[in-house]
Amino acid sequence: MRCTFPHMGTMYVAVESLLEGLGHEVIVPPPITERTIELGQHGAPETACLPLKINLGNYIEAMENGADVILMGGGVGPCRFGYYAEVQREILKDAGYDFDMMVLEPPKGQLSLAWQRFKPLLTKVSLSETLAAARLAWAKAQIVDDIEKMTHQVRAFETVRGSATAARSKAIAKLRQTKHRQNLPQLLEEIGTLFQQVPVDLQRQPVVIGLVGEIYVMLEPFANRQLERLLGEMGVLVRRSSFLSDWLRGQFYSLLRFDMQKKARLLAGPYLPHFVGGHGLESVADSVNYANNRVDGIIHVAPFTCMPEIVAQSILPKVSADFDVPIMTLVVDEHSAEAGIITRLEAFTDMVKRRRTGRA
Amino acid sequence: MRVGYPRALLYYHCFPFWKGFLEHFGHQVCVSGQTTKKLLESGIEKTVGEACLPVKIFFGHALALKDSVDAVFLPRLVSLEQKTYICPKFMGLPSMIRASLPELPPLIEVEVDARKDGLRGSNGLWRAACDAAVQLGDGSARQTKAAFHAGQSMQKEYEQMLLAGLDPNQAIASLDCRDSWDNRERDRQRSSGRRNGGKAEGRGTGESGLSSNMPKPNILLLGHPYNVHDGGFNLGLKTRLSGMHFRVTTMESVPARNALYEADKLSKAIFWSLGRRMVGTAMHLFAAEQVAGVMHLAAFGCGPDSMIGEVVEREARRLSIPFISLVLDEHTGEAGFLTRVEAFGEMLTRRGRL
Repeated sequence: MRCTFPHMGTMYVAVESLLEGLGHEVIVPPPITERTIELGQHGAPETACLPLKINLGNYIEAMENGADVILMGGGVGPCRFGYYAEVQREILKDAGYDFDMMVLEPPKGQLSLAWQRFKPLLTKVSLSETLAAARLAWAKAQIVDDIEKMTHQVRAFETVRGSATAARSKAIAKLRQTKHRQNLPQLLEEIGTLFQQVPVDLQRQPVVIGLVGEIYVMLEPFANRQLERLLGEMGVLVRRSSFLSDWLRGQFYSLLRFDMQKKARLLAGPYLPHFVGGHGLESVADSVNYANNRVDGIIHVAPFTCMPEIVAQSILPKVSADFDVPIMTLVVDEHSAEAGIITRLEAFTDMVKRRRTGRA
Repeated sequence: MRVGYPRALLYYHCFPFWKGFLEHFGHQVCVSGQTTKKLLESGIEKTVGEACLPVKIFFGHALALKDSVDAVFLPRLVSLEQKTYICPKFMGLPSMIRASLPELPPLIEVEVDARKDGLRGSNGLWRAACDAAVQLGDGSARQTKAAFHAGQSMQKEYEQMLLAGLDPNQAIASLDCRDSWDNRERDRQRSSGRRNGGKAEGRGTGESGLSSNMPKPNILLLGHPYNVHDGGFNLGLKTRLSGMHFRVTTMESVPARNALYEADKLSKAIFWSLGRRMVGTAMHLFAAEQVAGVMHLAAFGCGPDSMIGEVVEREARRLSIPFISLVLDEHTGEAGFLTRVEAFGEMLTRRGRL
């Protein structure tokens, strides 16, 4: 059983560690490229959203490298993501691939059946080893988030363009190699040093832009065409509303049917009093939160045809007017090109910067 | 009070209930007119570009009511059946309208959520009805209950008309002159025996009696009700197909029970109420070998349809039933659309002769 799973930003670091800890051979899909998207969109429904197509490309490339079990998330709506696995399996089966797909979702019907399904995944090592693997993976997910936050912070002040990005990839490579939890504190120090070595100019006063939107395109740099790096290198201090560990926690809690959205509902209440699936409610809530915290601008990212984000997109102009904060929606799909996105980002950041100097 | 109801989206699914309910309280229910080009353009102007055409049409209809009513009735639809949802845009629709159209008269916004069922079997309508009565400021509990039953009986009558093969637009029109409908229905039942549910039981539906020498191919026109029944959206597709001598079957003429029974056979249940029924309808008719071809009519960018179309298309391909996917948006040209429809129709006719 050689397992693979779809990419979502740096999620592979945590998932790879978890699966290896459970005693399985893991095939991490090759990094996403244009070829991945091309392979994926070939069999996918035309108006399906971008993540579905990238996922498919990931599976195909991983299967080329020998994977035969695909792990995928699921759900019960109303966002399309819940039905992804079903459609993806049919597409790949019809295309002649031989594999087994395991979908992690709230079990329907008998629990014993669900257990039968996941038994081979969980029972290869002892219970204590399973727990250790889970703790290591969770710790790694949190460290990955710390690395991202440090990168955002340092990039806006770096004097040599690209040095923060280089530090980030070094840090992630080191994290991937760490196999034991007792080595993590030392690793954290090393990562700290890596970022401290980046030459910075602390006299700068960068504008602050908050990122809100759909989780996949926010976390996956290939899907948002390196949005964070582009903004950082334009001298913008980027704040991001959701991180990997938030998403993983949300997925886990939804398996146990916990309510994660209380705070979001409170913030978004005056504009959107009901959840709309996906991250639509969070997009509105995070925008209100950022506006309260006086960021200079907000960028809302969404995959093309994403239903929850269209609701958010329709409501955000009102938030923008009420709080007097510029909000731009950036919709991405497989045809988005970096040049077009750079132009829009430059125009937006210029406007935000000028607004600030005008005010001061 | 004059209460406005936009003739768009789930108007075709649940309007009769609200009509019966509101009229019981003595309100005058005003429905916006047919979808026209002008109405569509006013809607497009006020919506974000990424929204689907049916939502843009809805905005147009809401705007059309602006000057003629005292309040606009706008249910926030979350779920139509237990354990399902509908498209997230319906859940956010009242908020989208509030944010984009501040010029509208007050909105009566009630939440219809079958997942939080107030009264067993009402699919969330009882809660919504109580809420509506409070917002309208009228009615004791007893009156609300009576109005609720008035609504339900009107809805039931409507659904029976649809099962008998009537077009929703005609059916809603005939609700206004209920007596004449009763007479007509009696006549019809006398002449053709048991007609309701006929489609579920076999080939003996309606026209098949007279089509012994020239069988008309039966097309399954699959899509959300607001796509299939709004001539302004689909460029009059239904009428055109009938004009091309096809029998057109839609989701409404297959009993929900039969459709859902088939839909539950899928390896994973579809969690959109209407999507589940669409897939079930297709599978039911496939199993009964009652369709010559399937037309899937969807709005560009529709989330559920991109998945449902895929499921039905793969199933149809396995059974070698012809399938065409017609995707429309506000830029669709009539000529190109018709060419595709005609080509598909001719292919079906030719296949039928072989």
